[in-house]
Amino acid sequence: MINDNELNKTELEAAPILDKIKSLNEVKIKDAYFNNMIPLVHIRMSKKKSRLKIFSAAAYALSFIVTIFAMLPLLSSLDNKEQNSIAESMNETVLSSGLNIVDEAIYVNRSDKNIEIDFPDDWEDAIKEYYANEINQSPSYFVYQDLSSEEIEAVYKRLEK
Amino acid sequence: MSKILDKVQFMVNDKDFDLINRFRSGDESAFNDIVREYQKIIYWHALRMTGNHMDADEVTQQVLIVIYQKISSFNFKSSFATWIYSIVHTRSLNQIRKNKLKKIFSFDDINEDKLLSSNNIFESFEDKEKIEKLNKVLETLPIKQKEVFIMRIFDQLTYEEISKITGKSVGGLKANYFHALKKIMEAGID
Repeated sequence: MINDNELNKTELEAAPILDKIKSLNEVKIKDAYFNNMIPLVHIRMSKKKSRLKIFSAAAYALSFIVTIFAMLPLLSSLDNKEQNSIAESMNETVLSSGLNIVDEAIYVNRSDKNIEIDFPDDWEDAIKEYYANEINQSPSYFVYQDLSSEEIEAVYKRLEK
Repeated sequence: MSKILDKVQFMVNDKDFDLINRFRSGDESAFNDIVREYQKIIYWHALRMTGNHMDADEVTQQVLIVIYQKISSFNFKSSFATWIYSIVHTRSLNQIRKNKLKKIFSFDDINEDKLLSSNNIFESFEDKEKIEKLNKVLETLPIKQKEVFIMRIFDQLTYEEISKITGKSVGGLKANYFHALKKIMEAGID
């Protein structure tokens, strides 16, 4: 802690040098500098405002992009679901029409061992798959294949279920 | 209400009180009057603290923008000048810190560029030399001693006012001022 008397004494001792220092401070700055201060500050403030606007617009755009990217997996899963449901409904239509043909063929040729069913090309895969699952046979089995009467019965029974 | 007003006018002089109220009531021209009133005080304090015109100019503009933005939050607890001083002081210290960092990461001589930038500001070459000499003297002081020395010698503020501006104790300020005087006496002026 500095004693006040000691401080005053030092201040008195330093007085000549302090006067010199004070005289160094007696300088003049051109009026033009201070006259320009008001417009300068206003320009800077408006720049700051426009910069803020740009930043906020950029931040908004960025947040929008980030949101879109974040939602992409969700959107694609929705899209897949939609596509899957369309495909499923397509398959169902194909299957039911295909089954009708199979059904008819079996019914008409019940006693015949060799039933040949001509599926339209775009139905084939779906129907092959369906039957493969139904009676645990490979899909190729049904395409160029003769069915035994037992097998026809088996398919028929399955179809009736 | 009148008691509150008396207190306010005791803390803030009538002119400042009027300027602040005009600005708060939407008169933008009051801000220009504030700039005219305080720009020199702000600039000189910043110049002595930072030691060059370029930084002082930057600090002055920053401080005036802060005043514009924050004047509505001025609570009349201190004088308007003290409030402004505290902003200038903080901004000047920030500028000094920035310069120190720049010095570390820069290969060029920043000080030389800054000295050149002040060529057209002073009215005469002698004035420019005087300021350079003054800066050399002030540069010999550590920042804590420099701030109290500047506020005592050039701004003629009391220890209590400096304490409000810097947030330091009066005892600590006196000690720093004492050591600043000692150092300057030892160093002398060419």
